[in-house]
Parts: sequence; structure tokens; C-alpha cells
Amino acid sequence: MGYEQDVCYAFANRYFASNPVADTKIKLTVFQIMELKFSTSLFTFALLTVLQTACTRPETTLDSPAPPIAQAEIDLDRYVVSPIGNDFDDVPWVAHVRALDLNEDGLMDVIGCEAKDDQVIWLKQNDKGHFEEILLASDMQAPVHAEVYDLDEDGDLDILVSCMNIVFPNNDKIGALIALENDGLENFRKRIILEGVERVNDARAHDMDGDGDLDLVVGQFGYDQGEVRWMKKIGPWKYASQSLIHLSGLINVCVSDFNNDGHPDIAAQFSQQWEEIHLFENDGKGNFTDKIIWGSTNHDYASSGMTEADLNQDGLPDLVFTNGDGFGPTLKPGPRPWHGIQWLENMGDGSFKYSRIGDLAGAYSPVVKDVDQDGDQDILSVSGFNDWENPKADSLVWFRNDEDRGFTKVTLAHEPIQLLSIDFADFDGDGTGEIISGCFPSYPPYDRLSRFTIWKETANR
Amino acid sequence: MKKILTITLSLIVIASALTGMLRWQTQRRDAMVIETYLLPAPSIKGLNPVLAQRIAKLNKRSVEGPERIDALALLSRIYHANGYLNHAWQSYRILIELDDKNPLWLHRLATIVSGFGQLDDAVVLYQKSIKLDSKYIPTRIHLGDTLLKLNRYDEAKTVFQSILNNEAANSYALFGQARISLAQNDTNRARHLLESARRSNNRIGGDLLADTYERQGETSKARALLHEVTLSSHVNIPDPWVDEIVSDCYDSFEVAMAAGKAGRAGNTAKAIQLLNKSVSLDPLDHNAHNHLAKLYLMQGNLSQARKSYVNCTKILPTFDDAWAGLISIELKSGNHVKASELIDRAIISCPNSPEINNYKGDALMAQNRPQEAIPFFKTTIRYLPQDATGYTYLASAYIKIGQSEKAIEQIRKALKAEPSNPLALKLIIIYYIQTGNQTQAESYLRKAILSPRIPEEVIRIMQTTFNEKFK
Repeated sequence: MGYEQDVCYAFANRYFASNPVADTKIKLTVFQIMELKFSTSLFTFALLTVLQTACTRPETTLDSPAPPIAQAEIDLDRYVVSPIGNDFDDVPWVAHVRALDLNEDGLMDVIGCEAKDDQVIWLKQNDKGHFEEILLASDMQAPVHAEVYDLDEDGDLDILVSCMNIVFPNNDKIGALIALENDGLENFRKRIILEGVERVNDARAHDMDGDGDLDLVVGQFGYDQGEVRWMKKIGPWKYASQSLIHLSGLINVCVSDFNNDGHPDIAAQFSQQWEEIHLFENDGKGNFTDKIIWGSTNHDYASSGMTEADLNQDGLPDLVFTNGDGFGPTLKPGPRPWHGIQWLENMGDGSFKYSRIGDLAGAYSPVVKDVDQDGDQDILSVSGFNDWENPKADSLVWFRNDEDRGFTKVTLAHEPIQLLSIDFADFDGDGTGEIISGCFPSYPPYDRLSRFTIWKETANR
Repeated sequence: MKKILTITLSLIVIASALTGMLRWQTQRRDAMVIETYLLPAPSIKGLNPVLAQRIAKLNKRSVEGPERIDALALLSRIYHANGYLNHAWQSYRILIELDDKNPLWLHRLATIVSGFGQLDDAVVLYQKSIKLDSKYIPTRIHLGDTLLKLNRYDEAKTVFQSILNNEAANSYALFGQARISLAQNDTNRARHLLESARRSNNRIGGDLLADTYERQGETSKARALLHEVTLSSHVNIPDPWVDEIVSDCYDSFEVAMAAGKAGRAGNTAKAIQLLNKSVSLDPLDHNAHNHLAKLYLMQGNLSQARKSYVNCTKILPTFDDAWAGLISIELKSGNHVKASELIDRAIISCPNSPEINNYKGDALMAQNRPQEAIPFFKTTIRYLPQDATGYTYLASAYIKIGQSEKAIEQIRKALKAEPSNPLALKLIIIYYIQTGNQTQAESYLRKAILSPRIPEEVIRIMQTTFNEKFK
């Protein structure tokens, strides 16, 4: 009996040493049981083990990344909608809108690219809230993007227009980059900067080599073939091209000092089967090193737009991008579950941290602005491709920055539908911003359309 | 003896109790993990009723049992297949924890995570999946692709090479290696790898290879290749572990997308099977019927194609694509009377359709009534001014009535709308050769040579005609 008891005590002591959570009362009970017969003791001991196991809460942590889940709200009364520009009968193809004061008269205007009619349009604000549509240039070979700079440094604003020539799939080298040179009185002369290349989708002007003049960065979507190049200014309206990469599906290029070394770099978003964002780091002399800063392995990810902005206001330029191109391997375009908005947070050394901002079927045209004037940066985006049979499908969406709580998706409108491009600026000079949108329906239904629309905050805000 | 028996019995009872306890504890843990982490079911508003019912049932069973893990496995698959990616994501996380020997959950979650571009997270998941099943090639290709996009070229190279060591002709691994070579500016190696990849799979790498040829100055080789690949030459690696979940999809659009993907990969039979499912989910989806008809046509199954087009015209009588499909079937079958009847019916249903107006005009041209065809081609141009087709048709009508100046004006308009339209380019080159305008003929011939859409043979004939006239 003495031996059995010793064994029991040793057993019990070891058990309690490895289970510090066990209760003192249980210990006492166990040691009282030690006085009983060994078999009874062993049985009781096992029972206690079982009971103790039963009372222990199992480990329940998950060792894998959590999904990005965002809050959603609907606020259809935030903006009042006013169509601007000429009346239209035919389906419009407004591929791009840009808000700016073209004639520098203190009133915000709009530049629009009408890709079907080959036109660049100026929506000139004559007095507050009244816009006159002026045709700046026709025969523009399907313009899809316009940016404004003083390209010839003569003190007025010129327009740099990217032209695809044919918007829908085509692999011919038919793209063009056209500058509209301002004579100072807003009469524009067409200057072909580049032609006979893969379809041009985006172009920006920036002094890339530090020689004090504006060089160009050009993105060519192409189709099976595409390219990003920079064009060094070598004389008045003369540029020398240098290819940076041959890759199809270029959506947008952004220029900023992304790696914080004092020289402007280029970020380029590619769609097609690549679905990548590349950073071309500049040594300051126009020599670039290419690296991928983000990519998706989903070949139908459908990259659709990218903008540069300091979203977290840490002094470093971030990238915000959308995926929402509705065209896929079927006859009808439409929304996909992974469409949405993303943020690449600049970590300061040329590396970026990815975050999903939120879902938006058919997301296009990300714009970063302080929409609600609360001091932080929000994001606006539109849906180019959604389930338009559903009257509750999102058309215009605001991703409200709730700081530590992330972004809340706020649906601002269900119509007009098929918007492809927006911009945000203070059009009426009241200190709050308005939205300008352009419509590009590429597939039925062709109802609930508005070619150019100004969205003004309701008075009670 | 009695003591030994008592001890033995006690040990048996203890062992049984412990085993039962462990099993109970495991089930308890499964239940707690599922209860803690499973996302609330999505709103069933507007959902397919069968889908809504299945989600509700499986949710309940996942939490309450019996067979919680099996229920959750099915639930995750249903979420994934029907586009509830966050729900699927979270369900896979739970499954990875509770069914940790199954590589499927890791792989499926990795495809979602890497699809969103969380590449560092995806690498870990792919690697864990490969540890559990190293033979499943798509996981390894995805891992290589993910590493490539992280600029981790040496690791990506090792992954692709490990596949090639067993399958030397794996086109996806060869393509991955080629992309690494291009990133490292080794164009010669990239070219060699892309050529090898295309030898085993001609739906991959054509675009990059054509670029490589161009960069090496072999423009005619590039041109010929681009002519062959037409548009969008790339197909994804088939991934049965993910692709097969579509069988649990209740969204007709997503099923149609999967069909399109199968069709693009050359699997017409699978595409047809999926489109039939899409049509059964939404019998009024004219787009799915239309897509189905086109696939039947590809298979040469005219009677099924005809049925599908007829379905389209019944669902949406103004849907011109379906009428055009029906007309083309009758024309192909030599049933000109039937085709003519259909054209007349179609033009009543879709009077503004460019496609139908072209058919009507073309039919009149075939009857040698070009003057009457002209208004139909003009209608086409009115409704589709940005497309070259109407102008080229109108030009052919003018040619037929001997108004060559008007014809050339239309061809010029066609080329303005579409600068490398093959028919317009061919016509204008012939016109300038015939009228002796060498400069213009040469200029357009140069454009034709640059366009991969014009067959090499046509270029050769035009070049010969040009040389005969001017040299």
C-alpha cells in the first residue's frame, strides 16, 4: 500500500506541477483520495484529468491573414445633380474629365475627352454654375485622357491628349499623343507629339532629368503589345523617346518622388494578364530601374485606374488604385466580386504596403480629396460596369476616411449609370468641393445616362 | 489476480474516458472556433432561393453539427463560387485551422489572397499547401508567379525550375522563367523560353515573344506571330481545385464567365456545358443564349446554334446579334431564301442595327441592286460612324455603280475611322496603284505591312502588284 501511495503522490505532484491552473481545493481532494486504494485513486485521478481537460477552454486563434471587411452606408441626399454641356441624342463616350481653370479667370472649368466623336471639349464656366460647351479640337483620334500643363512655357495652359484611335480591342499601332497648344486666347493648335504607336492611354509632363524643362511620360495600352516610355524634351515641341518597358495593358502613369531620393519616379499600372504596378526609379538623369511594387495573380483582376496622393498625410506620395474593368471572357461586360479600391501606402524607401479600401463593382477613376472637410483624405470612385438591371447598383461611391476605424463605403448615387471618369474641385467657390462626372456606356442599357454632370453638395450639409 | 484485473479494467475505463474526452474536446474546439470566427451569413435578399436555403442550412450545420467540418467545407465552396469572397476567405481560415492536413483550403485561400494582391501572405499559404501536396502543379505555378511579382526572382526561378525538372515542357513554368529573364534584361534567354513555351501551348506568350522579335529587329516574324495570336493570346493555367467550384455557383453571369474562360482555353465542350447551366439559372439571359449559340457554331452544331439564336430573338426581339447569327447560319447553309426572309423580319425588329442594315444592303448587292443597297449602308454609318464597316460596304456599292470617286471618299472615311482596316487598306492601295499614284500607294502599303491583321499572303500580292506598276 505504501508503495502504491508513493506512486500516486509522485503522479499527482507531477500533474499539479505541469498544471498550475488546477485549483487548491482539487489538490486537497486528490491528496485525500491518495489514502484510498490505488485503483480507486487512479480512477478518480483520471476522472479529474478528464474534468480538468473539459474545463479548459481550447485554443481558438487563426494563424492566417483576415479578410478585409468594410462598413457600408447609403447617403443618396448628399449631392444634387445637374447635367452640364450640350444636349445629346446619341450614346456619349466621355472617357475622361479633368477639372481646372483653363483660361485662368478664377472660375473652375472642365476638360472632357469624347472618344466616339474624336473631340476634346471645354466646359467653360462663364459665371457661377453656368457652363458653356466649347469644342477645342476635333479629329482627335479617340481621345481618352487629357492633362493640362504649360508645355511650351509661354505662360498659358496647353493640353496633352492621349489618343487610342480605336477604343475597343485593337492591336494595331494606331495610338497618338497630341498636344493642343494654347495661343494665349484659348485658341488651340494641334501638335502631333507621337503617332503610329500602340494605343496611348495616359501621358504626363514632368521634368524627369532635372534640366528645367517639361519632359513627357507616356503610357501605351496597346492590346497584345504596349509600352511605357519617357520622352526627353530636346527642343520646342521636340522630344526624344526612351522605352522603359514593353508590356500591354497600361492604364495610368503617375509621376512623383516615390522613393524619397529627390528625383521624380514613375508608377505604372498594367492590366491585361499582368495585373501589376511597376515603379521606375529615376537616378535623376533619366535612367530608370524597373521593379514591381504590387501585383495580383488573378488574370481577370481588371485594373482600371490609379492616382497618386498622400492618403495618410505623412508627407509621402501614396498610390490609390481601382479594379473594375467589366470586359472579360464573355460577351457581356459586368461586375466581378473582387472589384474595388486599394491603397499602396508609401513606406518611404520605394516600397509600398497594400491595403484593401473597399468593394465597388466596376470601380473606376479613383479621386483622393477631403470630401467632407474633416481634415483627412477621402476617396471617390465611380462604377463603369455594374449590374444595371438592378436599380440599387452603385454608381457613385465615397470611401469616407474614418481614420483609425478605416474607410466606410458610402453609396452616393445609383444613377446616372455607366460613369467612367470623375474629378473633384470647388466649382462655385463656396469652399466645398463639387464632383464632375463623365459617362461612357459601352453596353446596354442606354438609359439613366448623363453626359457631363456636376454634383453639388446639398445646402443642409 | 483480482488486483491485476481491477487495475486493467481501471486502465481500460480510463483510456476510453480519455479517448472520448479528447474526441469531445476536439469537437468542442471545432464548434468554438467555428462559432467564434464564422461570419454571419450574407443577406438572402435577391438571392437564388436554392442558394439562400443551402447557405442557411450549412451555416446552421457548421455551428451546431453534425459533421461541422464537412458542412463548413461545403459552405466555403459555395461562398467562393458565388462571389462572397470575404465569407469564403474567413471559412477557409477556419478550415485551415481545423482540418490542417488538407492542402485544398490553403490553396483556395491563397488564390483569393494573391488575387487581391496580398502577395507576402499568399506566399506562406502556397508554401504550406505545397508541403502537404507537392504534386499539385497549379499551386507551384501560382507560387512562382507570386514570387516573381514580389521581385524575388531567384526564389521564383527555383520554383519554376523544380517543375521543369519533372515536366520539361510545362508551358507555364517556361513562361514564368521567360518573364524573369525579361526582368533581368536577358532577351535571348527569354526568347528561347517563350518559343519553348509556345511549342507546348500556343495560347501562351505570343505577345511577349512578338515584342522580343521586334526588339531584335525581326519585324516580319513579329508580324506573322501577332497575326496568328489575334487578340488576347494568354490563357491561365487550369486549376481544378478552384475551377471546379463553379458547379456550386448560382449566379448565371459568373457561370457564363467561367464558360468564357473555358472557351478561351480551347475547351469548347466545357464552355457549352457551363453556358447551358447559366441558361438554366437565368432562362431569360439573352447574352448567355447568344454566347451558347456562338459556341455551338464553333463546334459546327448548326441546329443547336439555330435553337439558341431563336431563343434570343424570342427573349429580346430587338437583339440584333441573334438575328445576325441566324442569318449567317442560313447563308452558310446555302438557304438564301430563308436568309432573305430572316433579314426582312430582322430589319423590322431592329431598324437601326448596323449589322442588319449591312445584311440587307449586302443581299441587295447580291441581287445586283446596288443603288437600293446604298440607303441601308448609310443607315449603318449613321448609327456606327466610328466603325469602318459601313464605309467599306458603301464604297463597294459605289464601285459597283461606277462612282469610283465617291467610293474612294468612303474608303478614306473608313480609314479615318479605323486606320488599319484590312479591307479599306487593300482597296485604297489597289486604287492608288491603278491610278498611278506611287507616293500614296507606297504610304498605304507601308501601313498595311505594319498591321498584323493583314495576312502575309495579301501583303505579298499587293507588293508584287505595286512593283509591277512602279518598278
